Amino acid sequence: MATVVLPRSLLTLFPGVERRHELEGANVEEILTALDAAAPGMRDRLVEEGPRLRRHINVFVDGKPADLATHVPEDATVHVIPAVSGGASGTSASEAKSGPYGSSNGASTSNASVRSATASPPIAQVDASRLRPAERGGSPTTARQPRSDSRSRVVIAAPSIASA
Amino acid sequence: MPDVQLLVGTPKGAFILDSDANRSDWSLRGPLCEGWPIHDLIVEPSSGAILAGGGSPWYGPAVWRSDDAGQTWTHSSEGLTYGDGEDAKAIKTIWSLATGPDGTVYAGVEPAGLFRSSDGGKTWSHVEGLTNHPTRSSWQPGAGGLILHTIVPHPSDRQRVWVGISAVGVFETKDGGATWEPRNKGVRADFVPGPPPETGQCVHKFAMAAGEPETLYQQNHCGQYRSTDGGATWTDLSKNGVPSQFGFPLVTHPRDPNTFWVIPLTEPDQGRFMPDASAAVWRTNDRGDTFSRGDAGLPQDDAYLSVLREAMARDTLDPVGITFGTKTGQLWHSSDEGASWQLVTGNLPEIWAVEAVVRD
Repeated sequence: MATVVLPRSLLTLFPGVERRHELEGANVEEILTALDAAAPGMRDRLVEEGPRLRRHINVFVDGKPADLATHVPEDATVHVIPAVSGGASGTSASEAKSGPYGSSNGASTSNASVRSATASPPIAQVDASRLRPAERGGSPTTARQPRSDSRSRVVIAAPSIASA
Repeated sequence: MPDVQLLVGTPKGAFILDSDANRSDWSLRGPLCEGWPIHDLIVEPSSGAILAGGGSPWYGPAVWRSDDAGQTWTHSSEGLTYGDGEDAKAIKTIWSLATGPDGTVYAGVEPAGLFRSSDGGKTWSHVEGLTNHPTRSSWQPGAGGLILHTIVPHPSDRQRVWVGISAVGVFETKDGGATWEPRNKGVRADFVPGPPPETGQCVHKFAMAAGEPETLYQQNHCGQYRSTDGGATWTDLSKNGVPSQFGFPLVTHPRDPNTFWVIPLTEPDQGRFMPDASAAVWRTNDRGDTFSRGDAGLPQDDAYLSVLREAMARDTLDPVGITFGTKTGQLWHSSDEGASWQLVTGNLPEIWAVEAVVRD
């Protein structure tokens, strides 16, 4: 039985779910499947298509970085920790995971022309009927090939929209 | 007397501003949705529920739902996936939401694709016909990514839906999503040589004229356009008095099919702010044949303001209220259809989305 420790930012999405869980599983994937049974929908928050751990989610088994296939020994401690790299708006998909510390997304709301009534964080409610995503076929994207010109004209077009 | 809500999406959560119908005194709540980046908010007509689409950089995409005007929220992404596999594309975030005449909720995502829900957003299914379009392998991202940012369901025919994808163009289905046709004829793509392609046009936003489902107005990377045949062909309006062909948002009048509003911005290589750093919203009353400037109350000097594609909205009161939010966090409101403007708040995060709701 492994001890699983969850981050506080994940718990805010699942009110009532405890921070520590005792779960059975031979590897991280099985641990997260067991976790999803305890908190329906939680696997979706930690695992993306592949399946693989989300880019900015780190899992450590007894203090060592892990992926879904990593073996979980009996009596191991499994930490789920948001990566520090997820904090930047518009984080590029090419950015690698980094350190094991998360950051928050707080925001200022006061303004003289508005009756400021910044609320406490809302109480999110979890729909217990949620399941893991169904497996569905999808078409991977492929990059567009450069347009060719049979007469080999050189055309200077407007600036690329991708770089604009 | 009805109440009015402004729903605001930002990279640091959703915010809600409440007012009475005078729309002169607003109270602010937020950040909501646990501070998740929120790209779009809508109201489900049948229930009045608020739906918010976005994605956490840590915890992935989800659609949030509140059935009590924003007090409490649930979230779900069940079925929001292209499927597993070695080359599987992970869905990064929700970019757009809309509801159809039969209550179907649609979600546009990044990388571009369309999903729908028949249970108010609890579970989702992939509209595979769009993803499987023969042109799919040629789709390339624009500056904002490969995003499906606009969804316009037909108001009565549940089989018909139009969508807009940045740097790809407008598509329409007439068979409930099984097959899709590009709707870009007449729309320029100045960033590629040669005649305009079938797809690859950089649509920024489009909307349907009130009571005229075949009349669509479009703000594109390369001009403003009008279609009177359901998007089959488009007429360029960008020589009709607007100071720039470039811009993002476009909203249509709730009752007058001849009227819509745009916010022209300088070209991408010129900064993407309001021309001459002088803030204005431009209105047409004749389907885009002429435009007039509305700027009373807006800053006319040193106003380097930019407004994103989803960050302008109108309510349904008479006179119509118009609201826009800037990339620098100012929220401006007009309760006289864009003639004059008041600053509602100036200290929000970058504003990605604005929706206006009238509640009786």
